[in-house]
Amino acid sequence: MGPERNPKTTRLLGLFWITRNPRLLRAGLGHNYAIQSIEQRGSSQIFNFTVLSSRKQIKGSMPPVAPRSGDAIFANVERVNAELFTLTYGAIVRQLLTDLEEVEEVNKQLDQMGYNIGIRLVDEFLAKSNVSRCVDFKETADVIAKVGFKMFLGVTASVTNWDADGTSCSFVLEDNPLVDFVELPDTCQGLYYCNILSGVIRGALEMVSMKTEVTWVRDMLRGDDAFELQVKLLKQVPEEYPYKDDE
Amino acid sequence: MQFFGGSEISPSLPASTAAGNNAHMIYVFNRNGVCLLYREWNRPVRTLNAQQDHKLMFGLLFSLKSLTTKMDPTSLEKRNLGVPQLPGQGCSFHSFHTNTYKLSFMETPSGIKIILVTHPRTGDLRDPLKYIYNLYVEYVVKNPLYTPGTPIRFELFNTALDQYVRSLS
Repeated sequence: MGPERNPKTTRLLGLFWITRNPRLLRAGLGHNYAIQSIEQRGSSQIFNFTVLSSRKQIKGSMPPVAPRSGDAIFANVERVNAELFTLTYGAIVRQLLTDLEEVEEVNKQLDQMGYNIGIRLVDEFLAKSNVSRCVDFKETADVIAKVGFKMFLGVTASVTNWDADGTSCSFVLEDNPLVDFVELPDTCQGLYYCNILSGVIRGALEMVSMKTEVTWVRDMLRGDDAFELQVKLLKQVPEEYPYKDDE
Repeated sequence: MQFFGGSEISPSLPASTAAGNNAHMIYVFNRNGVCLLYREWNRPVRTLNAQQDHKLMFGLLFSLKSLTTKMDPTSLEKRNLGVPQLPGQGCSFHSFHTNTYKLSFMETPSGIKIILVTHPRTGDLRDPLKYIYNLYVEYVVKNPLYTPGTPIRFELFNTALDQYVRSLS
């Protein structure tokens, strides 16, 4: 099945849970699906699935003792067609553009969706990768680049552009599965198409007590030679006793 | 007759039963001290109401963590007891046991705390706690309809948890 450029997709997105890595898609109803084919029928695309497994089976194996590499985890999770993932993400962005009209609003909404994904995804990351606490922000950045990106997106990022005090760095992505088939039309010039990624990182780091600011520095869709995400550590939040004494 | 808990396990303590049933109860807290899950399998005596009980447990863990860091002979950096710690600082404990029960504890960098209270003769539960964390991820976190930070009420998760805990020895 050849990919369509600018596919018109139906609103199937309410169903899907797209926090997963690109090769696996899990529907909200608790089943894993493998895509069989994508058909173009008039203006809609029809996805044909087979059910791989249902959530009712006991999942999760005994976790490994040592920290695992991104490749090892990626090899072990169930995966599904990357095209489905890319097109599904595309359909979300498309629908947001239709619903919100303003490109700025779409950027914001994508970031918020990413944040909501990030605050959940961090637990899956910790459970599967078995990494323990990182000593400093440098180690955190390395782990995200080498393990995190690999585990959820199937690509690795490189970490560069550290500032002098080690609180800001960049993730550089040479390959980004989200943007296959995408070209920004004139009407969407201000769009950060992958803004969901910045939200994911911000959300995930917030759950491990790091407040960050994540911005795009380079974007291939805007003619740059790579994707570069700058992550700036604003502050680390100490763990405090959550109850008040008089409660 | 002993008035103060001795190191010997008291003779009246019921022997650990064969097919599981070693676990008394489990707590899961998030970083904000919200009790996401409380489940009990075998708890004959309750002295406090549920909310006080959860708060007491969370407070115990919080203070113990602070204490263990204070007593750490390998670290130079000493702060006053109760001063908030940055993530990654300090050390933590895995379990303690008394003459009547054993408490095993795991905390993830994301602040999820899992506490399992079992028979005092149960072995090392660090791996089983990680397994329970995996169950939590699979059945709760990944459920799109679960709102993070709210109490867990999912039948599938409870069933899987019960089943797993029953298999522990």
